[in-house]
Amino acid sequence: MANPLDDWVRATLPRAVGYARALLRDPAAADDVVQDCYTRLIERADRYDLPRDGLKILLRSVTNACIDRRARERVLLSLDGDPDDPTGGVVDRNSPDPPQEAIASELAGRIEEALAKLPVGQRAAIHLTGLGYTLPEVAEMIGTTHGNARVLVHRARKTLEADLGPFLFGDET
Amino acid sequence: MSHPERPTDDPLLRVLRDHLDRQEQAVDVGPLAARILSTLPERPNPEPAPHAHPSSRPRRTWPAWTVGIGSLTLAASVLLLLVFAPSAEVRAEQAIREAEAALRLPVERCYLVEVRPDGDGTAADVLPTRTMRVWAAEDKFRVEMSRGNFRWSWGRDADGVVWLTSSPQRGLRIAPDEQGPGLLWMAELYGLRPETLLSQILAHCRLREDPRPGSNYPRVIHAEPRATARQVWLRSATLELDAETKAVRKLTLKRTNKADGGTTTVTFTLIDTRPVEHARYGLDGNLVEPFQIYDRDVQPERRREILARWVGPHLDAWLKPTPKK
Repeated sequence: MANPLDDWVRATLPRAVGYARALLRDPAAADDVVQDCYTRLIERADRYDLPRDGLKILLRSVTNACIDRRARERVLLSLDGDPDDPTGGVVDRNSPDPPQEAIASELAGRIEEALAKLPVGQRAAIHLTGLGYTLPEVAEMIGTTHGNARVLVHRARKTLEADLGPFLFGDET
Repeated sequence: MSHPERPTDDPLLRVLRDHLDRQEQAVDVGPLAARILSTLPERPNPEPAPHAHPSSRPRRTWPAWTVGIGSLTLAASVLLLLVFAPSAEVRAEQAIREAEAALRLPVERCYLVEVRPDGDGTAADVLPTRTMRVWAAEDKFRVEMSRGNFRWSWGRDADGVVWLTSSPQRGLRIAPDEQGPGLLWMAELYGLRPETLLSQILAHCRLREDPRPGSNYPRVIHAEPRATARQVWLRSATLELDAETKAVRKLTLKRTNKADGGTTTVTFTLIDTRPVEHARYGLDGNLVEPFQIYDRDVQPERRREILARWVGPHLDAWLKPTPKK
């Protein structure tokens, strides 16, 4: 007999995966993070009403996992890096790797490039804002204060507007 | 999936939202959904209702002599059962053989493995308590290590080569004749497959099964080496077998460390089963192109440097020193 959480997993998975991939820029790693987060949440399913509140809890969990992972990666690469190669010999992991469908248009490519420039905290904040969450919700999901969330969103906006302004305001030269 | 708040007049957010929507729609989450859903527990089958159906038929009454014959038949049946029925240990042995058969299916299994050194000793220094995922198929295994939410992997391929990913684009290979004692010990510990272990348990251990409250509950079997057993590294094992599939759901081993005589408790918990992905048991299959692999023929000194940063003072325990020419 199917588990009643099947429907909830299927409904929320695309959003969780899209979000994790945006934060990590590494589809395989993002998928692993998302799977771990679902597994942990499902193990505690008796404590939550997942169909009602699960998406927010899930996105908060994905945020924390992605930020931790990025922090850990920096340590790993510095341990493993070549002193003569500041990138550690590793291909730039911040380079855009969006699905092919998303880079079909130049605008999509520009958005990806602009998002890739952002530190992961700003990326999380603007991504969640873009999804329509309010500042207090964003603050809760990325585990910070309301004020700090506002700063993160503001800085992310400045960077994105600088890069995307010509597209947004129609004065591309 | 709908957005929590719509619409927005903010041009930046509108563009961003459209972009995120398109990305969500472009993501193929099918394989990942299957992985996640396969870990969901199924609803247990309800216990069969007690045999207390009220019958509408009138009760038959039997002559007294038939009761006498019935009693004799029952007594004879009980006697036969006592003489010929398998003992508790034999039943436990049968259960383990069924579990062995279940493990022979051509699939790969993912175990959540916790390794916990029990006391003072080398193992406690080299190997703090750690939980990791181990995928096993045939003689190959790979270990997905984690610290916090970061993971990397190492494993042993079909040729006995141990490999390690030191970053997504960089990996090391260590051939069987280059592997130091510490690496061999860890490979033996992490690569210990329940499939192999079951046959050793059957050959060398006394078995005891816990009583079960009902037939839908897992079978729990305890194993301890017989006095005559030569399998001295195993102190005890506890197996939890699925009532329906007969497969090993959980295996807890208390084992002696060859290196220092201390004990380590290793717990395997089955969390996933799926068709074998052979490529994932070799180094190439765990790296992202373009990648660089170091081995005895490609920059061997660079390999030592990288490994030294990874395992610190235990380098020679992992990789034998290069013989001087």
